[in-house]
Amino acid sequence: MSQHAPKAPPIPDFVPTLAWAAALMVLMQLTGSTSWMLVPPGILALGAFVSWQRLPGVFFGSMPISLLFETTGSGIEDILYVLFMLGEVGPPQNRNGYVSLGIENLSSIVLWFALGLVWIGGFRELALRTMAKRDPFPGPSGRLGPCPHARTLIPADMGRRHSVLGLALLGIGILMVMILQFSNLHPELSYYSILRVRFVTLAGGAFLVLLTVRAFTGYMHWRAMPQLEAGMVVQEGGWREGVREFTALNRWLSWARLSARMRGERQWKRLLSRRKQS
Amino acid sequence: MIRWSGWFREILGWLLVLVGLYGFFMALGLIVNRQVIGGTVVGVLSVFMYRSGVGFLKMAVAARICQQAQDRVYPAPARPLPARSGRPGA
Repeated sequence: MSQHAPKAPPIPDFVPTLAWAAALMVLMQLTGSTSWMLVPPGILALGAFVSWQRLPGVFFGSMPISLLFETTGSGIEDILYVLFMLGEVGPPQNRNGYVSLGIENLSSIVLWFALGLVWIGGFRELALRTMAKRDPFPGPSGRLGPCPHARTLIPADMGRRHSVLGLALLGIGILMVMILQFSNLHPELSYYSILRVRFVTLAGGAFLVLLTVRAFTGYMHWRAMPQLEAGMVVQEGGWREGVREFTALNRWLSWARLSARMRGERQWKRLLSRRKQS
Repeated sequence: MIRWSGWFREILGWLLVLVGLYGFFMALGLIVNRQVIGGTVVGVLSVFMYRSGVGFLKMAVAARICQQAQDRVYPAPARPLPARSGRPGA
């Protein structure tokens, strides 16, 4: 049983810088007319979570390429549209054709991908803090018994608030771009329908990403739970599943005890009354 | 027996989680397409299914860890050797 806290997978130090730069670039893509300007911010958002040494080079290399394609006036979605038409498939569209989840609005998909990465990274940090506070057995998973999995989600150091701030700023920047983009994509729609689509796609989509991330991180966390915690979880689950039956049984037992006691009291009263009469 | 029920609970938990997430995605599509009441009902049901799946998963993982600890502390007794027919040394 080792007393050393397991170290979390390290997040590179350039995360806050990249987050700031990504937020700035995502906002700058508003000046572009095609979705090519979304490629460098997407690479930056990816670089905030993947420790790839050549990623800054890829980012700086993607900028002139994206600008070059920007001058052609046709975005990624146009090229994919042509490819889909060549394959006689056609772009997928919904009934009304204005939900930005189709291939015709690939920029929103790229933004959703970046937002998912932000959520995963940001939620990971938040999960580390909340798990460290609420976990009854923080620290190494083998402390109270051998466990085949290491609880790597428990952080070794808690002083990474700046990265959380950077991730939050990156998420806010992407959300702002999405709001502005949704409002500019379909000017023929009414204002309230744009509001509804905007709210549902942003709030609901973010909640959906949160639920997905929560399920997987929670599963990884539970796989490494100590034996004592596992026993308590099983006992709590058993109590939850059988609390109604236990309550009914206790009520029946208390009713049986009470009826037996009252029966005894009646017998004593009957005996006393007979003695008084005699 | 416990092992099979644990795996069954885990598979059922993942199925419920995935169905809940898909249902929530469907609810978003319904709300976007102006079917707010239907989308809300589907969303609430999906959240319940998701929570049930997460509960199943947690219980299954905890039960499996308890079973592993039980197997380590009380290993299964070795099977007795089959009795040899015939005289010893014959």
